[in-house]
Parts: sequence; C-alpha cells; structure tokens
Amino acid sequence: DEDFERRDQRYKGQQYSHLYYCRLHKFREVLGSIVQSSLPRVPVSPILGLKDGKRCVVIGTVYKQMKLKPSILDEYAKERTKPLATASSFMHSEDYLVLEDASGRVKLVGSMIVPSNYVTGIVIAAWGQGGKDGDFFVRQIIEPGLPPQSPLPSITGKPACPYLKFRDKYVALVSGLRIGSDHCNPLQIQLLVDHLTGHLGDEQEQMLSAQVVRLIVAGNSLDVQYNLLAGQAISAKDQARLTEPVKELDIVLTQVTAAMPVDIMPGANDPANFTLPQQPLHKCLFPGASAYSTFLSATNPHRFELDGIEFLGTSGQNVDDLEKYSEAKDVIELMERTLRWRHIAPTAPDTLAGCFPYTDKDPFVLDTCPHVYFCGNQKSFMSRLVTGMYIWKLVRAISIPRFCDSGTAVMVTCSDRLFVGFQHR
Amino acid sequence: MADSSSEAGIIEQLRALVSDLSLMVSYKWLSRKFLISSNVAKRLLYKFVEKYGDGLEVLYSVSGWTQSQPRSYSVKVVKLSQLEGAKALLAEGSSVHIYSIQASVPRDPALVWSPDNVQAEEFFNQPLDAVNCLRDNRFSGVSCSLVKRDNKGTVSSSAPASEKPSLPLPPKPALMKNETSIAAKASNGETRTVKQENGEGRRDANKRKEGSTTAQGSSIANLWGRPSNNSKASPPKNDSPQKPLPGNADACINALEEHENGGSSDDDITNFRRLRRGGQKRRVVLDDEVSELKEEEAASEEKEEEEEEQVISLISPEKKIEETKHEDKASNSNSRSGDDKRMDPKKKRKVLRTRIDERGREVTEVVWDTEEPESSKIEEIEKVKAPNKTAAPPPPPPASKHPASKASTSKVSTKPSSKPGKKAACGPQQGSITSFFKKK
Repeated sequence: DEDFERRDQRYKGQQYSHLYYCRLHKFREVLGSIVQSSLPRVPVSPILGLKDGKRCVVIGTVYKQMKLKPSILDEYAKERTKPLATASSFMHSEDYLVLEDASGRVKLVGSMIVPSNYVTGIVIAAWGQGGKDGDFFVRQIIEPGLPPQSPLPSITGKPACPYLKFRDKYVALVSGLRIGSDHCNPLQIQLLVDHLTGHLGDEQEQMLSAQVVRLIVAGNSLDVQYNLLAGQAISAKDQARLTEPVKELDIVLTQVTAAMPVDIMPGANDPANFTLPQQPLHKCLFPGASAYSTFLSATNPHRFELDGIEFLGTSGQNVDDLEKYSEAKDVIELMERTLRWRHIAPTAPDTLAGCFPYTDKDPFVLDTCPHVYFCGNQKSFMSRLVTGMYIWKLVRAISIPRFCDSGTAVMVTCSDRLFVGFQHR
Repeated sequence: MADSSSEAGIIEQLRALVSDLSLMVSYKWLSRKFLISSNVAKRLLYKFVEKYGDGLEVLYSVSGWTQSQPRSYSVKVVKLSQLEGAKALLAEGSSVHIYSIQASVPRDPALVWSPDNVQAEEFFNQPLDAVNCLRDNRFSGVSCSLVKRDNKGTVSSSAPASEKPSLPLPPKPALMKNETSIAAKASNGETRTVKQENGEGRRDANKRKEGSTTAQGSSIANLWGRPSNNSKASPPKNDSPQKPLPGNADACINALEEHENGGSSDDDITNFRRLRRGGQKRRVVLDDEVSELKEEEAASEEKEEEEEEQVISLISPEKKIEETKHEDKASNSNSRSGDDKRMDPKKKRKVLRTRIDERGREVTEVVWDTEEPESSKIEEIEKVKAPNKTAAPPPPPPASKHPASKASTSKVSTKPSSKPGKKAACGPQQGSITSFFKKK
C-alpha cells in the first residue's frame, strides 16, 4: 500500500505530463526487452523517424480518438453536431488509435487493430511499417504482458500441527455495502457480520467462520446523502442524517474487527478524496473500530500479502471506466487486459476522472503480478484464472458484486485460489 | 455453560418479554442481554419454543452449502413455512437454528434487525474504556487472538504530534495544552469542534511559521525563545490560545489583534467565531513576527494584547468584552494569568475612525468608545500603501480580505472605512471568518 499513499506528494500546480512521461519511460524499457527477444532484427524507431515502407517497431502511448467522448470544448462549439452518447458507453465505430511517443504521433491503421479493445493511456509496441499518408500500418501489437510473479508458497512445505488437519484459510471480500442508502438491507449485513464473527450456525458452520482470516471491504461502504451538502448550513437534523450511516458502519466494523483483521478501502461514494489513488478513510470516522489493532484503513487500490500470496484490488472505478471506453465480454476480460497492459488504471488522468498528478512515478504500473486480483462494486460475481504467456503465471481475477444488490460476498481460499460465493438472503 | 436453573430463569424472563412486551428476541439479543454465549442462546430459544412456542412466530436461520453449481455457501433467514424449501436447496450438513422469536414477523426485514441494532448501539455508546461484549466478541463461537484493542479512545484531540517534526518543540506543547485546556472549559460539543478547528488554525499557523522562518536567520531563535518563555511562564493560564504568543509583538500587530477582537465585542458573537478568530489571529501575528518587529511599541502595547487576550478568553457568548485598562496597566506581563479571567463591568466598544494623518496616509484608528471618550488608547493601523513601513501587517488571512461580505456580520460598523477595497489592515468590518462561509 505504500505506493498508493500520498505521503509527501504535494500538488504544486503541476500537470499530468510527468505522469505520462514516467509511464512511457518505464514501459519503454520493458517493451524494449520484449521486442528484442521476440523480434530480434526489427529496429525500434522513434515516430518521427518513420520512413515509408520501412518495417520497424514503435513504442508509445496509445491515444484513442473517440467521436463521442465528452469534451469540455463541445460547450463552446458553434454547432452542436455531436451525436448524443449514453452515459454508459462512448464507443463509436469511427474511433481510431493514435500512438504517441516522445517525438511525435502517428495514426495506427490496419485490420489487426481493433480500436474497441484499447483505451487511451496504455503503452504498447506496434510492429509494422510506415504508410504513405503518415499512418502506421500495424502488423502486430505487442503488449507488456503479465508482470513477473513471485511463486506461490507451497502448501506441503507448511509444518502442519499434528493435532489439527491443515485447513484452508479464507479471505472474505465484500464491497458495496452502501449503508445509509434506501435499498441497503441491514439484516443482510448483520447476517454477514454474524457469520463472520462466528455467531451464526452450529458448530460446524462456525468452524467455517473460523477459517476466515481477513475481511476486505472494497469500497462504497457508505452512501452519503450529497443533497444535504448543498453549501448551506446544515441543520442538526440533517447532520444526524449525515452521520447516522457512518455510525452504523462503525458499529458493523467494530463487531467484525473484534473478530478478525479488517481492511476497509474507500470507494467512489465514500467520504474520501476523489482522485485516485484514494487515500485511506480517516480513522476519526470509525472511533469504535479504529481502536483495534486489527483494523486497517487502506488505500484504493489496495495491495497486501497474506501467507505469501499477493492480493491486489480496487474498488471498481478503474474497471467501470474501462467499460465505458472499450468493449469486452465481461468484467474479467477487462481486468485481464489491465494485467496484460501492466497498468491498473490506464485511463487514469484522461477519462478516469481524478488522478493525482505525480511527478516522479506512476503508481498504477504493475511491477509484480498479484496472485489474486479483485475489483469491487461490480454487477455480478465472476471469477477466472488468468494465465500469462507462460503457464506458470496464474492470477485469480475476481469481480466482487455489490452487496446491497446481491447480498453476496466472496471468499477466496489461500491454498489453491478456489473461490466461494457467499449468499445471504 | 449456563446450568439448568439459570436457564429456567432465563426462559421465564423470556416469556415475560415476548408475551407481555411483545418484543422481538433474537438469539444474539438474548446472548448479549443475559451474558451467555450465542450457541447457548440458540439452545435456550429452542427450548423456549418447545415449551411456550404457541402463538409465537419463529424465524429460522438456515445455512449451508448449496447443491447447485457453482457451490456457494448460503445463509437465509426464513419463516417456518419456508423452512423445508430452504433446506431442500442446501446440501447435506446444513444447519438450522432459531434466529428469533416474536409475536409477529414484520414485513420489513430491517425491523428484524432493529432491536439488535438498538442493543448494539447501547453497547457501542458506552465509554471507550469499557470493554463490553460487543467490543470483544466474547459470545461468539470463534475467538481470535490477534485482536488487541486500545482502550484509550481519545479521538478528538488527536492533534498530530508527529506532524511537522521540524518545528521546534517549545511552542507545540503549549499549543497542546491550550487545546486541552479549552476543552476543559468548553461546555458543549460545538466548542469541542471549535477546539479542533482552532487546533487546525494553529497548525496552519505552525505551517506558516515553518515556511516563513526557514529563511530567516538568528531572529528565528529569538522568536522561538520568546514564545517558549512566555508559555512556560504561564502554565496556570488555561484559556486564551494567544498566550504562548510573545508579548513583544508589533504595535500594529497588537492593534491588529485588537481590531479583530474589538469587532467581536458585539453581543451576538459566538464561541466559535471568537476562538476561530483566535486561531486566525495567531496566524497573523506569526507573520508579523517574521517581519521586523518594533520592540518599543511592542512593550507598551503589550497590555493591549492582554486586553485582547481577555477577549479571547471569554467563552460565554453573552458576556461582553471588558476589562479595565487601568488594571491592565497595573498588571505585569508576568501575571497575565490574573488578567485574563477578570471581567470588567464597564462596557466599551471599539470604533473605527478613518482620517488622513499628517503624512497624507489614510489611517484607520480604533478608538475605545466609552465613558472616557477618546482619551483612552488609540491604535493606529497603517495601510499597506506605505510600503516602506514594514511594521504594516502583511496580508492577513484570506478571510479578512472581504470587507464586502462583512456587512452582514459587522460588529462595529459605525464608521466604516472609506476605502472599499482590500484593507491590508484588518478592521472590525471584516467580522469573523465564518461570515465568509455563511455567505456561501
């Protein structure tokens, strides 16, 4: 989590160019080595050095020119010719990709390119040749691929206690509790808490609860009533309405932190900062729960390690944005793409509103591959094993459904990354 | 394990609760009320239902693995009628136990949860030192040894002592002390938040201090030296946050403060504004400290500052700001503590008067408008127009630069300054910083 904490970064009015530059710089090295190993005799050329017909590889950041992308300048255009786009998707058949590196830009053409699969902000290498009109005819796109992954700790090596059978450990993931909203069912949340804390069920069931070693709350735990914060003085009654959900959440968290380690991540609707990476929720919001040593307020994205297994996840903003600007079968495919691009939130400064303008690094670049990759606040529960080019890189990608809608939490075992869906009425 | 006699006692009590008071009793509520583990509570409920279950509706909790793929673990709360159906969906080994008993099942599931919630809130609202069953999960079937709870539980005054480590220590302890001392005096929650905000103000002040003093040389040492002396000299002082500030402030600074506080002499000033302004004032003074100080004037004006500090020290909004200047003059800077508490019955108001002085500058003066007209102290505030005079206070905090918005909350607006634009010197028209926010 240290990468995602703001720490000493200060906003001094800088722009996002530093962020992009760091991103490009980092990936150029990575891609350079991949290109060298896969296409040894093809030179890497800067974009301005492209010659007609010469085959080479260019490495740069992708910019997707989208017709329907909302732009602030549209408000000033004399004629409103832009077709209306739905809020959910800005795709259009006439979108095209432009590759930009430190020297210049070039439009990518070719049938190999399917613009709907790509978004602005990823760094790729394109092998092809310069076309006549200044376009680049692409023969193959080379992505960075999954980052290196540390090997999973082997289970057999674990010295098992002679009296107990080795049992799986579970990590529980839940998101979208949305306490305070109208359609949140507090009984469901209470059932979840009761189960996790070991009250519910008979002894056998409680053994199952005992195997849960950690709970991750992946965002959107609160539903703040924004209409009350209209800028005028808030009456005492409204104040109570604003703070009631926080208190409820604190009671819920207190009950769970008394039983197991809990990590709570901020989400899009939580009272945390807006720009990614979101900083941890302040512990003054949870006076009851923060007294426990098991309570951890985490950033969004959140990375942690348990028993040698690396977990990485977000509260869903990155994937939601990708959904708007690219096409994919399902959420897991989008997550897979982010892993292949080695970047959690490629659209970050561009359309994923709010990214802190770092000057010296891009925190969303993945240097190592997690073993479990989750994404909260999705429509439904889905999970898949994502493999890299080499079979031994395996990532379990999980999309966590919104609890307020589905009543489902997810439990992941640490032994072989099986998953278990959790249903509450 | 409760023995049978206590179990019987509990069952009897249960009967009274459910039938007479028609409460909704869930196993968890039962376990927390009678301090038994939740498994025992479930068994008790079962026995109760066997004995007295007629006329009562029972909700069952069914949990187990589902039979259908993908296999998932399901927990459901169902009525008796749905019980068999729910069990059928689950694989072998599913468990059923009573979730709650009540006279009638409410339609809204949230109502099933609310008695538990009320009970949980009661436990939650207990003082942070108390360890109760909510907080240590003692009645569950599972225990975790990792959990350690910190019982101190002071949240509000968590002014981060770890912040700004480069700040020299002497001012800080004084600040902390003042924060807590204000809390001691405060009688309502509002003031508590005020204290926090005041702490914010001070922290900001500290930040500014830090930023501005790094460039200065040996004068800094003096700056720090003096506040520390003052603060150490005034340990019994438990009111105004201005105390640790050195009394060697500039005339203008003092006047500045006085103006700020003179404006607060109105009846409708609140705690909040006053203390807040206190924080604001601190900022201003620090800035001025960084700029060159005028020691002679400072010494004479020290007493003015004490006056103002008395102003700050008033917590109750009804009391006016008063004191006798004579008493002030008599008292020394060493014995500031005595001054602060004293309240003068005589009423005074500070009035702004503008005139052109001999050098052609527009001067806004603060005059004590009381039975003793104008013979009392008159402080001068010079406009920023005279740049060579470094004693002029540099821009005060941003909120003070909005004379226009002060109209609504102007304390003393008898003679508003003729200059409508920015006044670098703060006048009473500025009112308080909150008026700026209220306007929004």
